[in-house]
Amino acid sequence: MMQSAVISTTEKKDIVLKTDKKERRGTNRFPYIAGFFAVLFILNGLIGSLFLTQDPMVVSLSDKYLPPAFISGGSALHLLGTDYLGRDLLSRLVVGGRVSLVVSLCSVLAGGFFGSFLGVAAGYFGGILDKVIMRFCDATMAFPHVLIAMMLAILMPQGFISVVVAIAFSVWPRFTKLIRSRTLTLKKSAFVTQAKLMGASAHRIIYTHLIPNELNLIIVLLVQVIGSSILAEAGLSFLGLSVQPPNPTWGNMITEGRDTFHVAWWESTFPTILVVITVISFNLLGEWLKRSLEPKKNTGA
Amino acid sequence: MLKYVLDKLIQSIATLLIVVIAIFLITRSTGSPEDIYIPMDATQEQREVYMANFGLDKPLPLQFVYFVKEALHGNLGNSYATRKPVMDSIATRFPNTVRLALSIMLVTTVLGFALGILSTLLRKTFLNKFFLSFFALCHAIPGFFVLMLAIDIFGVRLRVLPIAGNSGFASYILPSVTMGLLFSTNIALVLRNSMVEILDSEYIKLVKLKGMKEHNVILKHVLKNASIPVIGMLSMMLAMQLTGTMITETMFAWPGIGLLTYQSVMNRDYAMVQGLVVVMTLIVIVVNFLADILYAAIDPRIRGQV
Repeated sequence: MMQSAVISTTEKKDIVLKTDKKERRGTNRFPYIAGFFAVLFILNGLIGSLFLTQDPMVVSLSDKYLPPAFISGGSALHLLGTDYLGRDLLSRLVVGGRVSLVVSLCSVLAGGFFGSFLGVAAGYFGGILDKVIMRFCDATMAFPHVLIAMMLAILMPQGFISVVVAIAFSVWPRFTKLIRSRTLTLKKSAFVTQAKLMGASAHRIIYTHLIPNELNLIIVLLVQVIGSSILAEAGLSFLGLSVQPPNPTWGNMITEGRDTFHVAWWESTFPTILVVITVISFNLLGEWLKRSLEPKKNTGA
Repeated sequence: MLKYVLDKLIQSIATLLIVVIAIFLITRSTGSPEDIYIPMDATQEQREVYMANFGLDKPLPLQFVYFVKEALHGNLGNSYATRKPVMDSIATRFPNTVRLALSIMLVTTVLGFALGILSTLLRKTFLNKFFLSFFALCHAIPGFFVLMLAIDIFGVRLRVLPIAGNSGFASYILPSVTMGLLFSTNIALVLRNSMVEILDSEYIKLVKLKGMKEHNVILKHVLKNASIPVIGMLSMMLAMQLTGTMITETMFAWPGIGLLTYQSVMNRDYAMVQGLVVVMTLIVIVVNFLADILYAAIDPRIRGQV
């Protein structure tokens, strides 16, 4: 008995060391390719339209359904081909990417700010306020999200702001739940109780002690949610609830290619590829950030 | 346990109440049916009769009390467009949504567990990367593009499967296999991660030291414990599917409540929308409530924290 116990503890040490090293070396390397595509996505949104050689909105029916340049019948003028109205696909993708960037960033930041704020308030003050906020969280999560987008589209001019609000609305409970539970743990920690004993106000504790300690969690979740908000924008585009055509977004480009998929596969395939690459990149970055900002999880403690 | 159930029940009712108030206010602020469903040349009297028919001439608080009272008796009012009871339309459409949801969930569960177990067993082979990339891809691709692709291949090119409406067994194949495949990768990834974590734990190492083969360990010891987080995901997906996903249903012209919701919003038929939201939220809340109870029954630690 004694012997086996000794063996198992040494073995355990070995295993821990091994996984430790492996984790440090192998699984938490910075995802360079994902980082590259994320930077590219952001740069495209900022300055991509400076490099356009074609106007993304110009309709030219004689050029419709031109295949990409690398297929026979394609023209070098339209590298990725044209859509059902003869508009240049590449320049529409560039401009559509900017819409995806701005919509996802704005909605995630708005939802993240609002949700984290409510999460701190619920966790720190507790009581009735906490109960009310949590019920609103549940209600939001139970409410069909697409419906919010539809209602907003009717209430206000359909387009950019209604999409941002709709996505932000579906995102905020995730921040509230995460930050609330973090606040509950931090509240019991020594430094917060001591600050309280020294007479610090709730305002001071929240701004100088709680929020700085929660910022890493918030940033991780922000990055993790960007991917799903890009997908949400695409889904809303399919239902005609996002930025309205003729303005291109990746979502409405995929949708416009729907009826002509069997004659012009490129029309919806290229935007889909870009969505997939961007979403995977942000998901990988989010995973990496999460691992590197939560050191406790790495050592298995 | 009883206290836990009661707490959860009160929470559920509060949540439902918030949603009912919200949808009541939203539908009334997005425009009156008077502007849409009454002909331009109707007289003032005709307008008043129309509004009185739907109880819209009364003050807002009174309308709300009446709405809740009737809803408790299973009457959600009449549709502005067809003037028939909302409940009847929902009742005729709902079975289609339930059947599609159940067939999607069946595919999701079977494929999810199969892929999850397979990817755990093969995690040390070269196929590991393949599985992980496949899961990541399915997680990042817009679902409606996959549906489009499936419709194009099997419906338009090969012409082997029906692509619109519900005309019997064959109609279920395309939506449930495509959506089921996409959803199952979520399940598989969670299952795989939680199985790998459990495989690292002490008691599994002991079982392995005793000489049990790994695939036996996985099937007999790991799977059971790893399934707990999956139950939560499956219940969430079930709730989502039961409320009728608008994208799937509009894509396949499926006569369910998702398509009905889409059409009603487009027709500005807010009486219908209001009824649909109440029913959908009720479904989500009931499913979540049951999942919470199930969790607490499996894991006694949860009962303490409400």
